[in-house]
Amino acid sequence: MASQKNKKENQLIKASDVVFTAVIVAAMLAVLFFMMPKTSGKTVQIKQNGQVIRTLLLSEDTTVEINGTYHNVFVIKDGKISIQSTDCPGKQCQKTGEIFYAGQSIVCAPNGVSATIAGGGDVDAIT
Amino acid sequence: MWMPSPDSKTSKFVLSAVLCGIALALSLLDSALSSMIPILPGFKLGLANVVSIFALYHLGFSYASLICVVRSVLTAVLGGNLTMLLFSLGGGLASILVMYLVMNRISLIKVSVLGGITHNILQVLAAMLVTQTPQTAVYLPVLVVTGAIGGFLMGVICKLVFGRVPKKLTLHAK
Repeated sequence: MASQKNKKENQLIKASDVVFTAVIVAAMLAVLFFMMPKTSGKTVQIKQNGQVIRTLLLSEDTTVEINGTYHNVFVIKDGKISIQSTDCPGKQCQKTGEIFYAGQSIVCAPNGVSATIAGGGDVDAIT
Repeated sequence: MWMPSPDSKTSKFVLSAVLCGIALALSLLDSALSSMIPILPGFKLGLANVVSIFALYHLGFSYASLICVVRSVLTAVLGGNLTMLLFSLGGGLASILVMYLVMNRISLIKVSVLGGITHNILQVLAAMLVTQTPQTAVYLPVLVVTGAIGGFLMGVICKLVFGRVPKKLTLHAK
């Protein structure tokens, strides 16, 4: 027993040390990933309950209403998409404002709707 | 031959002086290395941190801080400037403080990792103050990563060093 304990204490690098460092590094790399220089997206995918229901071009100004439990009105203008109006509780999706970077998204959780901007096709490779 | 007890003021004083010298040398070696191998701007291993940790464990918080101050001042005198002095003082002392607070609770390597991270965070904060640009915070994650990696490596070195230092030098450890 005693020798075993001694052995453990003499061990140069403990597994917990590696895990401790790796977690910090991983967390910071994740932060970095989200802070990466961003490129404007080209298309936006609107999903409802996990299924893609619309794919829109950011270059074309348009208005789309998504009906579900609630109603979200998406507006694309000047290459940016935002929720113009919604009747969901909290209106968190509307508060997100305009988005246009690849990878950004507007989520309306009460309605199960999300709009995610895709880049030049390389976003799928990352996600 | 008369030997001062390792706990005496004299022996602590002498050990601190030796550590100051080692820290200074390591500090200069570190800057030389980082300019020779530019992995990332401002990336340093934190070699002098080994001395800080050694001092912290074997001489205590106040000696470790003092050694850090002396080392920072000497490094600045030998080829730095006032801004650099403030950077290294702030980072060094803050990391010693953090390491002091956690040293009895977690393993040596984790202590070193936290010290490295603290040091680098303080550098970024100092840079933000000096340049008056909040955008400097963008470097924070990068520097936390390099601080953690550097801290980990230095922690391993520390462990190796701790195992090799003659016991009679370190009797006053804890």
